[in-house]
Amino acid sequence: MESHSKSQLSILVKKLDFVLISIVSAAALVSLIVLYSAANGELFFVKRQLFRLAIATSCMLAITMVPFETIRRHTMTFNIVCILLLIWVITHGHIGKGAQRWIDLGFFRFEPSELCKVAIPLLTARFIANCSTPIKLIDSLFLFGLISVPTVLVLLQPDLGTAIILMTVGVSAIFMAGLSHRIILVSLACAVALLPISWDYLHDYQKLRLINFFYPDNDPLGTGYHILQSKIAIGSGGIFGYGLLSGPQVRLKFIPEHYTDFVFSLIGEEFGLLGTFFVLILFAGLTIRGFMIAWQADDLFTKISIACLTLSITLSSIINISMTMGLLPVVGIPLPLISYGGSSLLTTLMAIGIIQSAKNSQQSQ
Amino acid sequence: MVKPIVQTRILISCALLLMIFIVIGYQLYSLQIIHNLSYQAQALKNRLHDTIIENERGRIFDRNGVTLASYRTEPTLHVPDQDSLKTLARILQKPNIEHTKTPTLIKQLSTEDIQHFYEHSHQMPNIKVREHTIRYYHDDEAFAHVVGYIGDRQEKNQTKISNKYGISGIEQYYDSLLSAHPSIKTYEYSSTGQRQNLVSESDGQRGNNITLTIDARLQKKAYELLKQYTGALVALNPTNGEILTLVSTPSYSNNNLIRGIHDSRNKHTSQLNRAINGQYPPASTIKPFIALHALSHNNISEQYQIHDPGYYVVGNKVFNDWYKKGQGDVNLNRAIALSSDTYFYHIAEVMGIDAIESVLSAFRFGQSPTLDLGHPSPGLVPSERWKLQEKSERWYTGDTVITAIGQGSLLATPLQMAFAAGILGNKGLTKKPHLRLSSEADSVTDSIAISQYGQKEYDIIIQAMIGVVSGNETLRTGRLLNSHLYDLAAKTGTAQKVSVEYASNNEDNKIKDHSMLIGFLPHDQPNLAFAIVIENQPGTANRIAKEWLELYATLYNGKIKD
Repeated sequence: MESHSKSQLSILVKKLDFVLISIVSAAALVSLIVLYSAANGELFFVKRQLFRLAIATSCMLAITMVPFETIRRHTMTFNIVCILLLIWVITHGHIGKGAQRWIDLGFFRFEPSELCKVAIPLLTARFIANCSTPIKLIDSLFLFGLISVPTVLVLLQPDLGTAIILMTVGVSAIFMAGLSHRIILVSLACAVALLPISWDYLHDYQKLRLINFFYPDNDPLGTGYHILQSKIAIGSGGIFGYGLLSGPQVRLKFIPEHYTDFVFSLIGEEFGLLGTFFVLILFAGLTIRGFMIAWQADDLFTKISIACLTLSITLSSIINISMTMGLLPVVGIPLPLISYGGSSLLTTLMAIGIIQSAKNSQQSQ
Repeated sequence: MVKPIVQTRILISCALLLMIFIVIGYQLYSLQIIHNLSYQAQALKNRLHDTIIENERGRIFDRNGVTLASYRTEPTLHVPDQDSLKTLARILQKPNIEHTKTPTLIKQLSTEDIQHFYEHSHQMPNIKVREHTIRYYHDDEAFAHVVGYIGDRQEKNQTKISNKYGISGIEQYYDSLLSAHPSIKTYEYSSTGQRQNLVSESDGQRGNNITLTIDARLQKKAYELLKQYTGALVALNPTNGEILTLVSTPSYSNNNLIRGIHDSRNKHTSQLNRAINGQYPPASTIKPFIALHALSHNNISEQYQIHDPGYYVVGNKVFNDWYKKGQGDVNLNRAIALSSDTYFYHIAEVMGIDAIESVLSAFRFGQSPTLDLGHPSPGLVPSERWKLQEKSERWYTGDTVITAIGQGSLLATPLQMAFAAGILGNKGLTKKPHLRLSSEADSVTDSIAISQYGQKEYDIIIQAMIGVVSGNETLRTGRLLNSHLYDLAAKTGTAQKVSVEYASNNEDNKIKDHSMLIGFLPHDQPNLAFAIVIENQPGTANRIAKEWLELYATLYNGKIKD
């Protein structure tokens, strides 16, 4: 019996990707340290995040053990559940920060839009695998329409950041599926031409954020204030930062959401360039590892799904970090694995689990 | 089998993402390394704010410790909102305050304003009365030209120095001494503006007090006597250079000025300090100096006598004496006592302009006196060279003779006249005039000595000037000055010149003569030398001088305290 469980454990350990697990563990450690600091040296956030980490890790391990074929077969079911949840959240969801995003599960609030970051990569991969490569224009348009359904639902919440990620993931999938570069260039030109029209569909606060992004000095005490304060926090950190629990910008509450969306500002202020580069290298490493697994995979579905799952995590980190540095407008995207919160952590680790499962399916063949 | 294009596209996608990471990395380097100091400064500016507590500016006292400039608290109104401000503007009938941003402090309120506010305070329940400390000048109009006034600095970013600075008078000259250094407390604030903790604290310093040489009693008396006229009175102690009185009229209220209340009287004329900047023809007051030189250089003797027909002819030009009938035989004593122009026309022609220029320069006419107040004017002593340079004209003997009676181009300030009278009375010795009491000042009491004139000649001139006041000539010009309270030597003068107040509306004043007087007492060992100029009021100087000198004599009993 004991030897049986031991062999079970060794099988599980073998199925884990060492690089990915190292990165995830390092990020989790950073997260706990940062949240300890964010709570002014109290363990409140740390305890709750540990609990979520345990659930999400269990989820990841479970998914790792699931044969990839099973995941592939349930892609459609998964996506339909996602869309139903999105519809539910729009009609019945809890309102937070001017948007209906959450489903209250009692022990934690869940954001279905986060789940889409896992579901959409699988859906696009499934679709592309059924098409001929390089992908034809008509198939691309059909796929685009398919992704638009959950994207529009997410946009309706409204959650602009996640919608952008979903759309980018879908478009990247079409790109990777080998769409002719002529069509890509023409589409890009059309997209640029359509940009001004899409302005009318933005919410007022989203418009404000965009205005403030392009004119940050417009109102240092208005909405652009947060971007400026975040830049001051990061910039004043220097090489080594002010040290744990000592960042004045965070302590004196100049940084809003310093444990969720603006957690990177806290890292920059208290741990300096060393801290920010460490985090940056973690996500760059995650990207390289993910795409490496995709590149090595044999079949199209595995390639596209892994590449897109990796992309969705990478995009979240890029958008979040860029936003805290004033490189992109403020859209509410948390920093994967590090920001306080359950949904993002759960879906990120689910994605990692799927990547590992896919990798294992390749090795077993 | 997967097509190679997919592999390529996967590589491209990954490379693009990594490039984005590199851009972010560079941006982090830029923020945290290149611009680190700038952001650190911004972070400090974010959370650290100075609280500046002004310390009290130094007080100003007269020589006896009477306060001339200090502080007092006045009510101000704290207006929190625009509605209250509107109501207040209506009730106080001050429409100009209506457009200030609330919350605001309404300062510079008169007693009536405060009274109006209290009567209607139920309409403006949000307005609170607060105490506000403001510079206060005692007997403001009497001392305005000496004490001066202060104002607010325009540049606000200098926290190390006081926000107040002296604009004129002693307040300006001794500004660095009087100025307080504000105390600065630097607090850390949260983003919501809550004060967290004291980061640094620097103790400021109170300003230094200053004691002046001015005697407030004499100054106030002089102002009382002069205030209805336009003129000046300067009095100093020739043995030590201490200025006891320096009055200029019309004066202004420096209390009103610092409260932003402007005089209805012409600002230009009231702020002009005639005592040091009013340049007048010194008229006959110049005659003793001319005579001193003539005696010393044997141009005349004490007994030397001329006949005065009431006029004097130079070439083909006739110069009239003020006394048209002529005084008959005139010697030096009579010439001074009766202020004979003819006598001085005569000796001027003998002396020549160079000799006149020499004596007037020796007595410091035509040069800016050093004084710890404002910028005293130099006056003007004309010469051949001056006329050629300024007017491109040759010097005529006629110019010489009218210079000798203090007319023509000759100009002097009351300070110069009092100072010269002091040198004469003290027989060539004096000290530089100053306003800060020398017991606390370091090196303002430089001695001045004029050595080219002998004691005997001084005595003759002083005797002649005693004769102006108490001699046996019935028509002596200073007869009204005679008093048993003092032993005065003096010289009167009447300047035929328009007022320096060019802006005056009163056309008549322009053509009336200025009345002037210089003198010193006691005549044997003077401790007071003075000059009085009253514009456009012939004869007034004597009447004013007598009343004022009697007060001086009573106060100091002929002896001044050291």
